[in-house]
Amino acid sequence: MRARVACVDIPALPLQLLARAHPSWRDAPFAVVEADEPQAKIEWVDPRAAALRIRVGMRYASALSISRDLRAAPVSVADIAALRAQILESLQARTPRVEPDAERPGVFWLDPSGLGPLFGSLEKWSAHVHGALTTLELRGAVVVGFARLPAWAVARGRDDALVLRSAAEEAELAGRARLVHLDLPPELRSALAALDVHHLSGFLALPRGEVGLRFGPEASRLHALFDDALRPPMQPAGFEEPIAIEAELDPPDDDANRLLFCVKGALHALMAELGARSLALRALTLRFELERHPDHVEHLEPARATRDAGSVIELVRLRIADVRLGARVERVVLVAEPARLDGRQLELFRGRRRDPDAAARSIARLRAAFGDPSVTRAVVRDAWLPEHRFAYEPTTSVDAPDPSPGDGGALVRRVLPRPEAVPHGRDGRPRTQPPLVELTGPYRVQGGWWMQETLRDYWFGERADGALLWLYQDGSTGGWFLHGHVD
Amino acid sequence: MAVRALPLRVPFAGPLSGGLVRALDLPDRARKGLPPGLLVELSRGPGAAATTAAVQIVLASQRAGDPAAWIQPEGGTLYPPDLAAAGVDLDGLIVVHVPPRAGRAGLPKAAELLLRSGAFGAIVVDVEGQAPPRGGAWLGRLGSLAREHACRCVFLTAPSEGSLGPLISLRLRAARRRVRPGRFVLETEVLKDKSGAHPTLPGPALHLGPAGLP
Repeated sequence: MRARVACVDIPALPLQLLARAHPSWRDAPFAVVEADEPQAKIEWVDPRAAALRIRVGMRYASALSISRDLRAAPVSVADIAALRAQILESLQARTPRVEPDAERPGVFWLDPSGLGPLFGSLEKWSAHVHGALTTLELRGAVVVGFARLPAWAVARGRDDALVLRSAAEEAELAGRARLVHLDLPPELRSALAALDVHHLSGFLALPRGEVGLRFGPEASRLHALFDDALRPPMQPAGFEEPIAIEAELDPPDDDANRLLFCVKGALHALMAELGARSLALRALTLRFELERHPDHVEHLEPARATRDAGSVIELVRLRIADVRLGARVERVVLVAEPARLDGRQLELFRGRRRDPDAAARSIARLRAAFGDPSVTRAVVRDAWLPEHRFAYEPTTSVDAPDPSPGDGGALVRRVLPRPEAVPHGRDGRPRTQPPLVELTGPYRVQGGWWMQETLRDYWFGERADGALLWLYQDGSTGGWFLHGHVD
Repeated sequence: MAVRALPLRVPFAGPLSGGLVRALDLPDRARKGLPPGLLVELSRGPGAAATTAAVQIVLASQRAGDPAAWIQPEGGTLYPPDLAAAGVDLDGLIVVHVPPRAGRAGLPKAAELLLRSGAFGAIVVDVEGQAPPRGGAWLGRLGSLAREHACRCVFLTAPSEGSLGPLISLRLRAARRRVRPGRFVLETEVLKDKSGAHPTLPGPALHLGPAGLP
């Protein structure tokens, strides 16, 4: 008897993620944009927006001119990864063998072997899996079939659970699937449309050798997958259950050094447990249970997954050195987030003089000492207002530098996090101490017209003592503000 | 050019000597930059260009293939778009924001953790407005780590705060001077030089002002 495979298909995952985050948008046309900017491109549109002729690739400002009711927001890669992890965890509760599809973010492959008798029938099991999607406020289909991509082709356009009786039924239903729903590469889809091939059955009727010859190896691979000629083995995602160890303190204690030794003992036991499972420590959560006080929780992440207790205990020492616990600690609970050991080949001849791993370790120490958001890299953004032109993003590593080769220098400004109001005289000019001897400008900056318009006239003011101030006059109030200075 | 280079380096000569050298007058060969392993103090103030000078040190480190770090108190005034305009690769620069709860030891502690790794070619510590720890032990530790790992550790201080301590190898004041519209040179005044290496600030002779600055 041929093995079965189940496909969970959640179409337009970013759109569904957005709908979950903004329940009030469900009755309005909405779209996913690449960034929160008026000129950002639209990446996904819901059926209401599509009916208004708002298309993928259009600028948000253009789409807004079609419908003022359009709602839009960006969806980050991290958000999608988090949702996929949530779906995976939910599906793993229904079957131990779940493989997230590497190419399609909304597709998961499930092994239903042995679950029919356990649930009564495969229909009941598939309905149970479909119920898991509903619980997560997601719309999608569950199809229990015989081959991967044919089952997925059947699932496209459905939002229920279906168990196929035979491989022939699967092939027949899959053959009816429209190619526009199968996420084929645009060039292949256009070429097939030119050949008047619009359904999967038409595509599969073409000789595979000819497909490979005319449209390339990727088209040939897709042909083989949809034709069930290529059967990749199931590669289920591993279970990464947290491992917890706790230590009682009798009598309760609040001395940082003694707590550190207590943690150290527990950490060695934790590392031994991780070693027995061939795993490493990706993150450590420390929970201090206090006398008559709420628990105090700290979260630490080493530079990379490790089994080196010494480096982790150093991070713990840095973190708890400045922690003020409100009461004595009764119990310490260590929860390890495991990961596969990142075995890397040692490099005999490094290309860089400085060790990037040492940099990552020092960054992990800084994050432990000052908190995760304290170590950042600066990112320059395309914006008009100076305070919107950059952002700091937390980082765990530093790249090998690639500075621009130019030999020209540039003076650098310092910008105040909050502009300071500057008084002005009767002539309307700003008054400083020492006084300004020269005022140059204005250079008008305008931004935020799609939300709250900001208009500023920027000036450079040279004070009598030589300081070069960067000032602006607010367009709405006429007030002067010091925004920074050249240094 | 080589004949002119020697007399022009005279104001730098000798430890504890002061003098004023115009970077524009230095031939390219004389502008060797700062040797690694130094604790450098750059004084800020009206008319100064300490941040610009520090950025040039970061840039020199990156051009040598070494990443750099910038340490400032939380809510600091660094303006990354100007660093990018000066040529700094922002992916090769980490910016550390030390929270107020870390106290007066926070900035040196961050510098020490980074220096100890030996993974950075330049570390800039913006100590303006932050009282440093008492005593000079922290400077001694940073100095020995900077020497061990061939790292340039630069402190940006306000002129009113005075020097951080006697263990600073080199104390400079970089001032900008307009030579023609939109073009500036950095003039470096050596307030203290214990290195004996006659160091100079790295970077080009001419600097452009930000857009709109005449």
